[in-house]
Amino acid sequence: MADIHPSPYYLRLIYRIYHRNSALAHFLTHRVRPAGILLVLLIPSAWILMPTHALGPIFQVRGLIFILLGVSLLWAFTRRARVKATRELPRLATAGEPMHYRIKVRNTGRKTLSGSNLLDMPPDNRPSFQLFSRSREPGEETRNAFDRTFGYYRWEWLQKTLTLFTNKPSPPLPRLRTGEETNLTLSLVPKKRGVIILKDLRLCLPDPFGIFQRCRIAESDRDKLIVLPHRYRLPLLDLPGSARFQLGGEAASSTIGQSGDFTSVREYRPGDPLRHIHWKSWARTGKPIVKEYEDVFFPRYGLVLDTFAPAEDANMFEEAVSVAASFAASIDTRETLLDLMFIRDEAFVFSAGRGEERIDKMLEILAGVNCEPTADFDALQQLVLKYRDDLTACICIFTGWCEQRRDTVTRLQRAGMELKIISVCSNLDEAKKNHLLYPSPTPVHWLRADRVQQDLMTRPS
Amino acid sequence: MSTSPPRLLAGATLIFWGGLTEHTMLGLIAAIILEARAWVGLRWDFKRDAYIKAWQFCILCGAFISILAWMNGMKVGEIHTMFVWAPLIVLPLELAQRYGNASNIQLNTFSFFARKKMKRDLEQGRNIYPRKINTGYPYIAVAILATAMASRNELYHFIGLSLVIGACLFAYMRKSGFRPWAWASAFLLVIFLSYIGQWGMFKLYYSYTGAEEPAAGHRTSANESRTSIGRLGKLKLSPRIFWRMKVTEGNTPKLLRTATYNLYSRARWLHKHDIDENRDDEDYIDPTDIDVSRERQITTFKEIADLPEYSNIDLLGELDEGIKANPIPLPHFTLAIDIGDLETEASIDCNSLGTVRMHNSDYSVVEYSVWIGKESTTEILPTNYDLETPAQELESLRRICHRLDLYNKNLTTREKIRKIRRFFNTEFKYTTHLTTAKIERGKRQSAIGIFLETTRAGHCEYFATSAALLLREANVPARYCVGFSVNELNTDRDEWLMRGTHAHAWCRVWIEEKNKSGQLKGHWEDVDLTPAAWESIEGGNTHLWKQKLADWWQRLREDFLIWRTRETNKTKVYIVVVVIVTLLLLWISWRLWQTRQRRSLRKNPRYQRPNDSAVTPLHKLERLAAKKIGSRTEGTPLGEWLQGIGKLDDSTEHQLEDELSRAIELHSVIRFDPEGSTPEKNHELRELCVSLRKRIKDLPSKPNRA
Repeated sequence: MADIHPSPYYLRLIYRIYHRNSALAHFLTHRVRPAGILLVLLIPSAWILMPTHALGPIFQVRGLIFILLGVSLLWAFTRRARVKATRELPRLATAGEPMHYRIKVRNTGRKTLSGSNLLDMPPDNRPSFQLFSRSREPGEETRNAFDRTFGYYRWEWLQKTLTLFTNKPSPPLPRLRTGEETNLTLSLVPKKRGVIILKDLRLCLPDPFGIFQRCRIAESDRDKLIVLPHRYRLPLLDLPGSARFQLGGEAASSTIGQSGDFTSVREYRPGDPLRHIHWKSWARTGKPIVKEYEDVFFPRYGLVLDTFAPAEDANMFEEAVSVAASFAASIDTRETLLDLMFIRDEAFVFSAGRGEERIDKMLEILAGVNCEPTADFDALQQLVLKYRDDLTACICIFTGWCEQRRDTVTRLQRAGMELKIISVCSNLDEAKKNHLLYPSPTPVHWLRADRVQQDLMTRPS
Repeated sequence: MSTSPPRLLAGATLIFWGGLTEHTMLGLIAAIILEARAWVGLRWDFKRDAYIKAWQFCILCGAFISILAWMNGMKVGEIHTMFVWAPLIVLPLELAQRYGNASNIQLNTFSFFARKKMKRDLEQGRNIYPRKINTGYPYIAVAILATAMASRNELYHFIGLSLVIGACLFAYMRKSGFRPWAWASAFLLVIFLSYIGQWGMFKLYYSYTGAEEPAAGHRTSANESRTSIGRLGKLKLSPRIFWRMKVTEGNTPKLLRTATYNLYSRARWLHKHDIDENRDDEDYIDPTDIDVSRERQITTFKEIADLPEYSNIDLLGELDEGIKANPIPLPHFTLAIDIGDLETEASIDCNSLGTVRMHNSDYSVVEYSVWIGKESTTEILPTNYDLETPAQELESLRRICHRLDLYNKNLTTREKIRKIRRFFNTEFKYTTHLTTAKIERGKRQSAIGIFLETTRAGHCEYFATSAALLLREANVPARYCVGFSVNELNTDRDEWLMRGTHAHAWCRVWIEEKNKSGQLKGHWEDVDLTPAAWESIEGGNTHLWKQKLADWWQRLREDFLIWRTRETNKTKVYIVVVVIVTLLLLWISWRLWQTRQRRSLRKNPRYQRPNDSAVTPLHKLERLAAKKIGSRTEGTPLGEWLQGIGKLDDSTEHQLEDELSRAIELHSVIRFDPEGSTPEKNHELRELCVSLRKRIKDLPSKPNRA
């Protein structure tokens, strides 16, 4: 299919149209309630159906519809109220999981408030012109010429990807006299990981019939919510690698005291702790003898995240982050250490586990990770190889497959590292074709972006 | 709309629809089937495809009803009138929604293209979030519109409409911040204003269209013809075939008269009459039937001793369904009419001007045979009405009469006619495109004057009206006729075609002549004074392929309708239709029966307290609490169940929870430990329950989960 390159002027024109149209749609959808939509749709129907023998009833229907709409509109427009609200948000939420929070509402207006509800407005999800003109919807090349020329589906896709959360209005507020306050529970579903700033709380004031409503800004603070990536259920982990003399062991433990198993005794060497001296043997032999213990080392895993995904593969990248978060959350950090490695402007390593940071912190870091515009696989290889001696094994999560990714895997394997390769792809056949061209030295566990959970639970072929 | 209407609302709307559209039984049956969901435990686990099939079945039902209507004579242009049946047509989908387990159905169910797009998106691995709706309220809206389409009683309709809309708005808002006083006052205001609004719309409509009665339009009835005199612009005449005529015996009549009128007033020709004992209030008489044979009955308006065996002409055409009594075209001197198989459904009558109308025909396409005699058997002698000229036109008429010397008593009627014909042929031009300055409303009476003295251009209505008025001014009784000119012969089928372009107006003039015995005897005669060029101008191009195709389709439809009208064929059609419908319904029923599910009407049976158990004040809160958290199920202890109330309380003080815990504790003691029960504890529990009742009343209801 031939690629279409609309002129910048044309792109800017349709961008403006979509931009304004979205603003209008946003305005209307929050002010015209479902009953209003049905009534508005009835107008053309009542107009088209104009029989010659039933003029009176048709005029009655038309009259009733127009008057209902008119009265409701005026009533909603004249409603006044003022409230002050305070949110009680949890610190963390998870993408895709409903999150409930409480709001304390106080009527600061001069009249009693009844028949209203609250709504936290999501931030503007309209893309910028640069994003709109440079992005490509996944599979855009398979759309027909009309769709590609007008780019509406791209706009729609961008809006969906930029939507931070979805929510519904709260249940109706109880009757609140001036100065009275109440508590409400609201809920929202974060659509993507990251930080959500809640700063636009609206008080919805519908007319008595619920056809239209007025959305007044409610006085509230600016609240922040960190949304962790979505996590998948993982099968029993069968990670490669064996115990090695990595740094850590009991030294890395947060507890103080002896641990490990007794293995033998030997002569004292300067530096041995006094508490290890075996007094009985010293007395028997006349030479200082110390007890020798087998030191305990914890397995240390590397979690390598490939951040070199183009903007149109943002969906795949999100899934890769979710898979990384799933591993981070599933590995038993009481017995293991986990090093998260990725490239964010520069090489970035974060360790969590025994004696190190909490795993929540790692999830928060994953909540903020973004795609890197330039693919610097050398930097990634150097980063991983730097920790080669410390790592039991390495879990590499790639977005797609290509020659550079193959080279990265090959180089890590040649360095003697145990690897588990996971690749998230949008089209499995295409990914496998690429794999045939650039075969990986170790098996790859393919995960389809739309069926990650299903593919995670199946063993790699 | 993702909420469903409350129980019985859709059923009540269907009964309202049935009652006002004269389909009471159908409305009642549909309402019972729809509302039976609440009483029977049958449910189906419909998947997405099932809803699509239900929608496709609705379309099939719509097509089927349209075909039936077409077979009954409905025109393609009147397809929108089928909307009356919409509540029954979309009933399968509404039933699928109600009896299915899903609370909402995907919006793209209704669009082939949207479904195709979704399928493609799914194939390409895109994430899709189709919108979902509950069809309950849209279905009620459809029923309301359908009722308005065919309602016969405006007052009942307004009352019913207000009640249904009110119930919908009440049910919709009841659970989302209902404000009773605001709602009631707004609703009363809406009803009052909409009553005034619809009255205003009527006024506007009449003012804009100039109509005097609803949708009178430009139709020709047996008692009134609204002419286009005074209207500007191009007069558009339809090339559609209105009537087909086969001449079986005798000469071909040149004009077929549909209706005759005798009074002209402001661009309208009317039929006026004096009260006559032999005729009804509208001056019509029923015909006399002659039994020719057991199978055949022929209609005449005067007793005829000897009627020839074969008719002279056969006419076939379509009646205007908008008029109850349609005037039918007949040739000059009609003697008898045979309406054949139609006689069981239709009847005909005739007025004193010779206009014959057909009543209550169940079929819009009719066929009848006509016998032509030698004199008029239906028209009365001239009356004063046949000499009346409107005062507004008098001056112009007099000037023209003087100029043509029509007041000359020596001139015979035929000579006067000849003078007028010459005048029209030489000084006037036939046109259907009138471009004179617009005549102001209320001054239309001068249109004939302007035509006669200024513009001298017009169409047949101008010529016929002017000729009739000029002849009346010249003391010659004259009437105005409308009908068709017979001038297009289809040689392939040997039939004459009368299209809209052949519609014509002319005069019927009383001509007195001496007979062979020297006696003066008068008779009514058709006089067409429109310049002869009109036929060539209006002929149009009927040879275009589009017109030929339209003619072929019309003939096919009319012939089929006539075929279907016959008693023997009617039975065949009914049997075929009934067999098809029965088989289809049986197949659907069988499929549905196989996939049915039984669901207990009450998922969790309500707890029934034993009669002999102790009752505490806490038991009395059960009904109120059930409104907030749902009914208590069997096996659930009262205390445990009431804990649910505490969860609804959002206040930080948790007073409700504290009071509830204490009340439950006391209740348990009184109920299960008679020794521990003291009057003080009873009193404390009673006090607590009074307080709890107040608190529970103020709580919001638990949101319903779909």
